[in-house]
Amino acid sequence: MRNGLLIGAFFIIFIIIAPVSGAEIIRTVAKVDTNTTEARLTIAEGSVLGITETVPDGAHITFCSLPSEQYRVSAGTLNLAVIGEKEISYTLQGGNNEPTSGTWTDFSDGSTGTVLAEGQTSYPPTEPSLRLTPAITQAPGAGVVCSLGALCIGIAVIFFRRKGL
Amino acid sequence: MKRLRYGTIALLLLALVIAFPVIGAIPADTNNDLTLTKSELSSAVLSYLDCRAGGSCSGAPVAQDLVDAAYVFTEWDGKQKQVTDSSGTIRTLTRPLHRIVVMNSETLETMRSLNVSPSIVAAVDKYTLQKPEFFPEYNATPSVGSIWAPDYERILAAHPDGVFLYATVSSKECDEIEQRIISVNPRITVFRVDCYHPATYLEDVGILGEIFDRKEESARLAAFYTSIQNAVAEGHLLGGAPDVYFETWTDNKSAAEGSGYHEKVVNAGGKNIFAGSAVEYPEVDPEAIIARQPEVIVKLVGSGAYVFGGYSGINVTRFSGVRDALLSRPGWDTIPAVRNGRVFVIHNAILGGPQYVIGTAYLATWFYPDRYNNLDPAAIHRTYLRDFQKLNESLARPELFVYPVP
Repeated sequence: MRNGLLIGAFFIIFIIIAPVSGAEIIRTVAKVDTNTTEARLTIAEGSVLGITETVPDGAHITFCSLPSEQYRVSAGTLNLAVIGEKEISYTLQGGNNEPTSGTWTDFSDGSTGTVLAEGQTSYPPTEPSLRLTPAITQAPGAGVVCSLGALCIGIAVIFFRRKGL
Repeated sequence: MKRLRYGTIALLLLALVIAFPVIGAIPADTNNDLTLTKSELSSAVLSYLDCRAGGSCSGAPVAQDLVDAAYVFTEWDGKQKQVTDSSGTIRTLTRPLHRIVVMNSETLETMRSLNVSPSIVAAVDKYTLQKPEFFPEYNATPSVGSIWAPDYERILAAHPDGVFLYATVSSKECDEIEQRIISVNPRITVFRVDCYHPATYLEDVGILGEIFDRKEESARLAAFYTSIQNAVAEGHLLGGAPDVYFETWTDNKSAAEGSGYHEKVVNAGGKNIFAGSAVEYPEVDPEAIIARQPEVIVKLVGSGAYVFGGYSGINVTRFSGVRDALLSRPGWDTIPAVRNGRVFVIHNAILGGPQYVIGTAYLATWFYPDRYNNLDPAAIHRTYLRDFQKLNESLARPELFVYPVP
């Protein structure tokens, strides 16, 4: 029981200290009228991104704030090329009320993740990155070292407790 | 017959075009006008997303190209980057470097000062691997031989996009390496940088800062060097330069004008008694040393018959033996430097390469023992290792590098 608590505590420390990589994108959805929904994507960081939004069944895109060369609509998806924009909005017509889902790829570091609905705090947002050749990158910062350190201490404490030391 | 020859030439040209369709191309620059526009980048991102979702992959970039294109667009304003290296040659980059071969450890050391990730270094020269205490991160990195005996197969097997060679030292050998590499794979960009000469070191730092987009780091490193050089220069502006005999790790071999060591002696405020010799590293007559009555003698160790001390920390007791041997050379008891106890031994690790600034500070305190109360070469050494090389500052113990220890 105590071991479980310890594991939980160290996992929380790891999560708190773990550095955020890639972008964080939040979707806010507002009903304009019974048939029209406006979605607004807010991008915290990341200057060149690709976002794929899945459009609900029966809905279609009637407006996107990006220039036409920066988005494409195809069956059930809206693909967006984000180059420096911090906010993008698009309008959906038709369909039911099921929420739109989406994924993003940050081309500054190859990280990928899920577009979060407003108020959603799911973490970590990033998924395994694209397979890339190492580029000119900085050495890992203190955050990485601290989080790995916290994880190692946690594992060591549990190990010694199990051994009765 | 003539028609046949033209046909052959045309076929050869066609083969070249097919073989190297993307030489110098900026990724996602679809119209090849050497400028990546927002429109082209957007199109590439959307094609990539379509392809990944199971749509058409025709013309879609691979992930690496897209990441590089994003970098070129955001960091280089969508244009290729042109850098004039230390040989005066303009080198062109169309994407950031990912795999490099570094054939001079001085450049590798300077890259570390600029916080360039070692993960992009695919291979190094054999001399780098002979310094495991100083370059621990490259212990498992493949060797490509040396400037004087390059292993071309290994260089090419590393699949580099960039190769770093000296600019002015061993230039004949480096010219040949450059030509052979380019003739086999013209997509490799060769950079020529010295990174050891005081007169050009800060320019070299700026060039590396440009190549690796480390301008802030290069400015910080330059400020560190400049502050020390200024402090050293202040001390000898008052005049009274002592006559100095500088001996390399080969007995009776000095350094004359044109050599890096001469420059370091002069920068520290010394008057090199063999400055005007006909060659950069003259063999000097032992009688001539005695006849010129130097006030200070500096012996360089760390190579040749004097491999000890330095970062390896081996056989440091040899320092005193070397000095004793100097003092007892025939006829040297008449030399002022010997009579006044101003004979010093210094390790090449802090004088020969980018760390010359540390060695120069030691020389200055030896040349003017009463003028540098605030100049602490050991502290400079510790700062360099800790703040720029990210190494343990305990490696800077003076007894490993100089004798007598101040």
